[in-house]
Amino acid sequence: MRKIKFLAIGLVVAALMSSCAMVKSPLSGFLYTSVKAPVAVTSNSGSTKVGTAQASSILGWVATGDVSIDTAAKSAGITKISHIDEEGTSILGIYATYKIYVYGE
Amino acid sequence: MQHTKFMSTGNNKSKRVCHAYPFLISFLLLLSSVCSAQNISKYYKSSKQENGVLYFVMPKMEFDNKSNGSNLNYDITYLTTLDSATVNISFTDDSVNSIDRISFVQNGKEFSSNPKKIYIEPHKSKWVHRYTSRFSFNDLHFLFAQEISPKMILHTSAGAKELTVNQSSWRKNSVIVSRVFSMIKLSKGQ
Repeated sequence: MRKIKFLAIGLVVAALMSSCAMVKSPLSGFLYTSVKAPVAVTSNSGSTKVGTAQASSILGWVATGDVSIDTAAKSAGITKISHIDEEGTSILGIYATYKIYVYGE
Repeated sequence: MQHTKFMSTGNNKSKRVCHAYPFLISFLLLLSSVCSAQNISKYYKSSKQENGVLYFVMPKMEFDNKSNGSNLNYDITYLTTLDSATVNISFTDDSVNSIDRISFVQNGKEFSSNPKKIYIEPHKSKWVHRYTSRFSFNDLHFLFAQEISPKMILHTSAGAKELTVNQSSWRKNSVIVSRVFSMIKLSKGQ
């Protein structure tokens, strides 16, 4: 019983010490990250619509969301994609969000 | 000998102070970037197009109806060569009734638009209705320049659904959106 208790405490401490909410970004800051970057460009030009999709993570323990290009394009009714941007935000490794912006018509 | 020891302790102290400065500066920069209400660049995105500049604004304000638990999020897309902006809404509700008309009501004025359905899909026990509608850019600017929060009315086949926005949230965020709209107008040279 005592061994299990120690093991459980050890696991919690290890998780607390090692985990933090990391986000996909070309640059990352330990304290704060808010970086926008390009993902892809197509030969289509002349965007009139913008669609977004977002996923988030808490402490690197729980991460949820659908950040697929399809979801972002669908949110604005985009059928021809022009280009895609991404944005990664993280605060102290506690809360992180990853967002994509799909441009098109 | 004692004097030498004192000097060395003093150097260590000054070294420690020097090491603390970058952390202090980083912390203050972080605080200013997070707390600054004047920095509007993170509230919109812009993209240069052949026929103007495309702006995308995502206000952090949710309209809701506390009595039936429905809520509505929206975003605004505006191409500078057009007079109207696109307002896309995501309305989460129990019902599956289609929306025929969207209205903003504020200070006795009403701005309405007939929306087009993008999709409807289930989310947990509710339905997410995604619609696109067009509003005059000047009307939207006027709407966000007001201090009193508007009501949003969704006219459906089963009757009208009224949604409101928290007054303090509106006061805080409408100023930012209004500044973005002012910036767009100034960029256009109006």
